[in-house]
Amino acid sequence: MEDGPWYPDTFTLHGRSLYTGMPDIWIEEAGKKTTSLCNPPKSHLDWEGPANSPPFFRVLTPFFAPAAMVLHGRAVARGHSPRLLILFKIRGRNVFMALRSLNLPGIGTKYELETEKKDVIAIFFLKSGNIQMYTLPHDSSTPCVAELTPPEARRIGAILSGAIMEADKESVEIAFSALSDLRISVHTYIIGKHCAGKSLEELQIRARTGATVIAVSRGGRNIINPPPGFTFEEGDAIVAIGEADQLRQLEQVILVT
Amino acid sequence: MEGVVLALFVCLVLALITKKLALPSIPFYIIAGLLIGKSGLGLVGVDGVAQFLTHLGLLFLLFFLGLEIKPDRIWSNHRAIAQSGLLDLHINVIIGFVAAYALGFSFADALVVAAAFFISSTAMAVTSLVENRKLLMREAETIVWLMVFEDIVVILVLAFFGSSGEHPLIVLAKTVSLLLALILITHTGRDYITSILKRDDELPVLLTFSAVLGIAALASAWGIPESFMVIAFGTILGTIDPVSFEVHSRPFKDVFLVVFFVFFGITTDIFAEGVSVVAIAGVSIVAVFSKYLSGIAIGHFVHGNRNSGIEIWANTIGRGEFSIAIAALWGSGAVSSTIATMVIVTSITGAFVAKYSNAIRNVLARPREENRGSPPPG
Repeated sequence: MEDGPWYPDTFTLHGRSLYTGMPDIWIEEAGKKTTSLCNPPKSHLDWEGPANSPPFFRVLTPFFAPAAMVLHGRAVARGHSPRLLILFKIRGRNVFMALRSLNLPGIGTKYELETEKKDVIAIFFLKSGNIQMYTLPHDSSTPCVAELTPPEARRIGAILSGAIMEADKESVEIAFSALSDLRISVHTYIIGKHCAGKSLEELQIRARTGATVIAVSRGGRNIINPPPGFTFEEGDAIVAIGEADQLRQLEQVILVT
Repeated sequence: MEGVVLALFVCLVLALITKKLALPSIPFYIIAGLLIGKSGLGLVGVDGVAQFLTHLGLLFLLFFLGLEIKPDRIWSNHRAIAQSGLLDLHINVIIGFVAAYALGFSFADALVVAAAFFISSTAMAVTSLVENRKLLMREAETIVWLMVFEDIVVILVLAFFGSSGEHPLIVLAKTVSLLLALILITHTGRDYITSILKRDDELPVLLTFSAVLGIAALASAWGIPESFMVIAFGTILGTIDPVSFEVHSRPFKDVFLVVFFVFFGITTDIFAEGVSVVAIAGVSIVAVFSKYLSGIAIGHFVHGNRNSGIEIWANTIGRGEFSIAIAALWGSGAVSSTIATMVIVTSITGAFVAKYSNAIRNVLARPREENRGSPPPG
């Protein structure tokens, strides 16, 4: 639980896991662990949240809660499922996301979450190292499956989290999908004979290409943010940042000719 | 020695083929054993080397089983495990025993057959769920816990029936004291053991290998059930670092277990005198059918839906490693050939049923819907 000045005590949070045989989860009066996990009836949730908030807040929270607050809670279910992780955010209205993690002997670890639109996504980290990702639309009973290798899974994770990094030998491209697909490349080059002895100022790299030299590596020593008067030597490794076109310019205009 | 090499190469070829076709490999190792052994061409016999390697295969199978057993996790799921597990146990042991007894096995032999009959192959069930991409099915969890329950039954069977002629209480006292000593040693030396396992030289593998063999030797020297001790030792070591022990013992298990399966086939003589073909075929067919009944029962009582039972059935038909282990430990000639055939029939049937379970489900579910739709008689 993130520390905050006040916590809701009287919410009814309701999650439904469609496809795992796990029935509805209710959390009412979080402090008092009132829950029902129907099957089997005796299992229960341990609420790892605040115990009891002052009565004053207990009265006020139902009114305050819809305003703006983010709450992370964690509940551990005993009985039917060994671990149950519930994350929910309340921002304007109750948004509920149940993430269930479960260790299946011989198979691996399962993570399952139900989206706001009641679709189910389940991810299995298999013992073989591969990952199986299932998606189950809310209006269907047939899931779709994809099996991923760890690099593929990492790539999907990066896409979903909004930053795509593509690395080849000397360059890295970072795309920020949240910023209207902004793509920035970072590239390394080696300084050749004809640039040796010239300073950053003389070469006018930024003015002529738009790219920026952000670091120079010389004989095992790194110079971060070299000053305009910095003079290159043959064999210096430079790190330049910019858009792909700008870096191409740098390569053709400055470094080669 | 040459026999072992020949058997291994046959298995290597079979492994390549079965993995390509996504079929379970255990039945094919046994078939290969039958073909090159006593029942078939008689190319390979059993010598001291083969016996030793076979024994290692069994020990590492059991050690692996022990590593997978997590007492706390099982306890926190005991309700879910017990309900489906007990249904499975009762239905299959009773049907297995009655079938074997009716088909002419002696009382003791029928018990061994019933035990092997009951235990589905955990490895096959898990592979089938992963390969056929059925992990999201709500029955998948039930199947996984069902396998855990069956594993526990294996352990109990090994503990009770594996003892020597001594008084059971003496054996029990010895077993408990050895277990306590092991727990004490492993937990006081926990940090030291962990530090050895982290090394990247030969030490971790050497430790794992000699620990398993050492425990087995100690147990048999003391007259306590060796198989049970190896499993329990695996469980105890599993509380320290299950992943490392698994990684270091896996190569031994993989190789020696193949030797174990193929030599089980080699030593089994299905054409021997006194082995009734009717009994062998009968047990195999009943074995497929009886898991159908238990699957439907579990589907009905646990999921409230008989169709769930068809999925549970599809993934639990295959009998495998533990059935063979039981046959190798206590089976007479007739029992071994019956169990060998049962493993071959059920595991191949299981592989196909699991692959086409959706279609089978539709076929088996349709008649009931039609019945529901038809007007009541009279």
